[in-house]
Amino acid sequence: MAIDMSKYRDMFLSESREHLQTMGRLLVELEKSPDDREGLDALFREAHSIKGMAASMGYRATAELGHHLEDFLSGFRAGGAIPPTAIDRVLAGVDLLEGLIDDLSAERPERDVRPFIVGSTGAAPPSAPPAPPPLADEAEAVGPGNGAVTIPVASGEEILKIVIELVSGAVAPAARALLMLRELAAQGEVLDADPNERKLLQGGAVPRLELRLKSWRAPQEIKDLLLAMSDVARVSCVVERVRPATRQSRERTVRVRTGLLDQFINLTGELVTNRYMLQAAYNEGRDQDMRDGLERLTRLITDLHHHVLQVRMMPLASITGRLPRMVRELEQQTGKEVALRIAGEEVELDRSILEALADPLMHMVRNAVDHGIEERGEVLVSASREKDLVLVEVRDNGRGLDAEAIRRKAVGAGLLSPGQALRMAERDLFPLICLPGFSTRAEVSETSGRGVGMDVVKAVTEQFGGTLQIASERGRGTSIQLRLPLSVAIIRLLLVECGGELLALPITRVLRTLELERAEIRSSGRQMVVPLGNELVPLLSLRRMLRQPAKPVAGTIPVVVSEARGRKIALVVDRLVGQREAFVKSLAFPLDRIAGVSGATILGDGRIVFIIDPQGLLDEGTASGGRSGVSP
Amino acid sequence: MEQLLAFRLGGELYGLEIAHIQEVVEAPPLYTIPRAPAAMPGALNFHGSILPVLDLAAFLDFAPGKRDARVLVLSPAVAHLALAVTALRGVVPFAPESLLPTREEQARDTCIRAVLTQGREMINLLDLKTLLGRLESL
Amino acid sequence: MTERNIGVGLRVLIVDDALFMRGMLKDLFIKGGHEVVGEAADGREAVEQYRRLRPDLVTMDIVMPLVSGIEALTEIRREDPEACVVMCSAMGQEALILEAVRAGARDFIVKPFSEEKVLETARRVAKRV
Repeated sequence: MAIDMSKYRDMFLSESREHLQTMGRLLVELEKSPDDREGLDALFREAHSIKGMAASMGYRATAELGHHLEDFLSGFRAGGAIPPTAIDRVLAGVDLLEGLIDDLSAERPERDVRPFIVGSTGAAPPSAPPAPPPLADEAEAVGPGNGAVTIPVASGEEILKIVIELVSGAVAPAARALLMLRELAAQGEVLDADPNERKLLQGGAVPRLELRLKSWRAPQEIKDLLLAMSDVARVSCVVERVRPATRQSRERTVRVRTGLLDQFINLTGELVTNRYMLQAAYNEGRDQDMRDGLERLTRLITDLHHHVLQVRMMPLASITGRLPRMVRELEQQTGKEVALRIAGEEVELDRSILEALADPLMHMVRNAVDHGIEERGEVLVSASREKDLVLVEVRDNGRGLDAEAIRRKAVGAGLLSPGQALRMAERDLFPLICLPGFSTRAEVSETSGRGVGMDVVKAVTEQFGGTLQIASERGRGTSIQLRLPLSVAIIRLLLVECGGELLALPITRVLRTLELERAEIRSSGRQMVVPLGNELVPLLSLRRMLRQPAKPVAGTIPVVVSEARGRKIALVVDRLVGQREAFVKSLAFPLDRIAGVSGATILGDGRIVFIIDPQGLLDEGTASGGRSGVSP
Repeated sequence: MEQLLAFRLGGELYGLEIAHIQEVVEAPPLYTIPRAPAAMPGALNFHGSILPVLDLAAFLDFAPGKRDARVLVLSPAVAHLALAVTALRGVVPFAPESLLPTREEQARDTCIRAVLTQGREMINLLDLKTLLGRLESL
Repeated sequence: MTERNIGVGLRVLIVDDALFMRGMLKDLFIKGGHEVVGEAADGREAVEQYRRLRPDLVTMDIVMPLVSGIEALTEIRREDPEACVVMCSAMGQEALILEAVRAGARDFIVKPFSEEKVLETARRVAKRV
């Protein structure tokens, strides 16, 4: 029997990754307190879950390894403590499991786990008594001894074809059939029914009810359930041949709190009520009630929107799970002593932001351990709300950034002239470490040198309309602060007109909007600047950045003050149009290949407005941004 | 028999299998894409999806000229992209076995996968894979 | 003295305008190991009792004075969407039964009742709670 398990695959993969993260965290904790019984139990349960899930998916090697780890751990559970050598072994097992999950995710065959399992014989605790079957459901899923796993027959979801005949004298057969439909709907998804619900609601005779039900339940279970109901004469229930899936969709799944779902249901109810109210008010021409109704509708939609966004929110904890383990490994590699503190793990962000942030976060922590901390020190990862933004900070109390070294490197890499480098203030130098290719070969260490660099951290942050700030003090430490929007789906945009086109900037990237008088503009060398506070901010022409024809300046000059590479810039536009909230669409290939365009939104009238990222526009243009400058 | 949609690019006759085309849209409003290459005259709002329009004639370096107001929206399985051509011709049935192969460098330079002879005319079958590959480095 | 069947029996509210029917159902439920926590003679009383008692199961006569069974059912379900209400009806009330099912009745039983059927329905319906 062919059961299409592929749709559960993604769920399996994401859940397994969570379990593996938890295992990593638990192991690090156990290393500090090896006799923590609860920790050991929890670890065992995690291994057990992975084994069970893998077995039901039919992933043999993964299930076998999960089972082996579970077995291995059960010995220490009985003894009440786990020695460091065993922790290392389980960590290695977790690594191997991660490899297996990668294999499955890439749709490769699972890698070989036998060498690992066979290699374990010496490492097992000699004093440990033979493990009793630890959990009741163990016997069903796993065969005895030697680590072999019997794969249970997975009971997948199937389409059942059901025919119900009612007894001839049944009272209110339509009502009875409705109750049956309702009961079956609780067991799965009723795909179609004859007579259907609408017909049944009209009453009348219903000698038989035919329907198709998509359900996890076995045909016999459904049959028994129906036979227990009143007035049922005969039931037939057979599995319909499963049609091959037309295309394997790789939909992402989200777990939703049931409380939230209830709120959706309540809101739907209120919307329905509201609709009737409006209908009645309209029919009877009651203007005031119409206005009230519309006002209420606005409120309900705001509520609904808020709740929909909630579904996408996940706590920071979902990506910090790997950090303790990583820091532990770094400690071993570098011989440093590092205390990792994580605060604000409960702070929630949109899942797409979190997913993109996972690697950058690891990189920043790695950097802090590698380049920041000297002998011993502390790395703090924290998240907190700041109005509509979330501040994610990685801070260490290590040696701090070496401004002189950055200066030298920037000149060496041709990013700055020696003169520029000399004039540049220390805090203006720090953002340079985020330029692509800034870290030189000599500096690439075993740990920080791989994968993403600070340029990627910055790019990811800005992709979501966020900002990155670096603060550092010699001998006191370094802090990297990312300010990210809570959710990406809906953001506030500033609309501007430029070269006859409507464009948008994320409001999070806008510091101020100004209308400048000609007299306020000065020139500094070949660059036009405007004094803001005690800074001279360079004026850049958005037209020129977008390769549009220049336009002679008449009257006041509308300007958007933004930030690029940690410095303020004033973008000259044709007109400031206004702010609005918009649902941002991310761009697919090939639109995503265009630098400086970070997304788009569709206005109420169907117009497309592209969202530009001033930073991206500058990076694409020229290294210094000078070409876009407004010359005197 | 399969079907292709034939269209002109400059003076050449091209064709694309119907299966790769989701819809032909009549003169949709196009919105300028900031910083887009010259061969991308804009984007259209296709049922809420934002699709860039690629002017095939310009992209494949045919002499600049008029453009058909209609655009070909590719199937989402192929790419989120619409194609503008010099002039749409119509649907042509063809037998896959009657396609003549092209040389490799020809395929690369002109995005032609195969050639179909139709009476005195030749229809170049557009090679979407090569086309999309060239878009990778916008 | 009330008998308590903790963990086994259901807490039942009986709604019927006929004292005789209430008495019959009460005996039947007690015999079946359930606890009758309240009785009501009309729909309004039923809603009040439900609010106060939150029983596991309500048997509700469809035709009653003042507030009808269906109105009471609707009111109860508004307060507690999980409420488990079984309608009691006489023959020839098909349209009313349909309306009650539509309004969220969990099941219905038709007079004359068979003891077995009432208890079976109660068990089956209440286990879904």
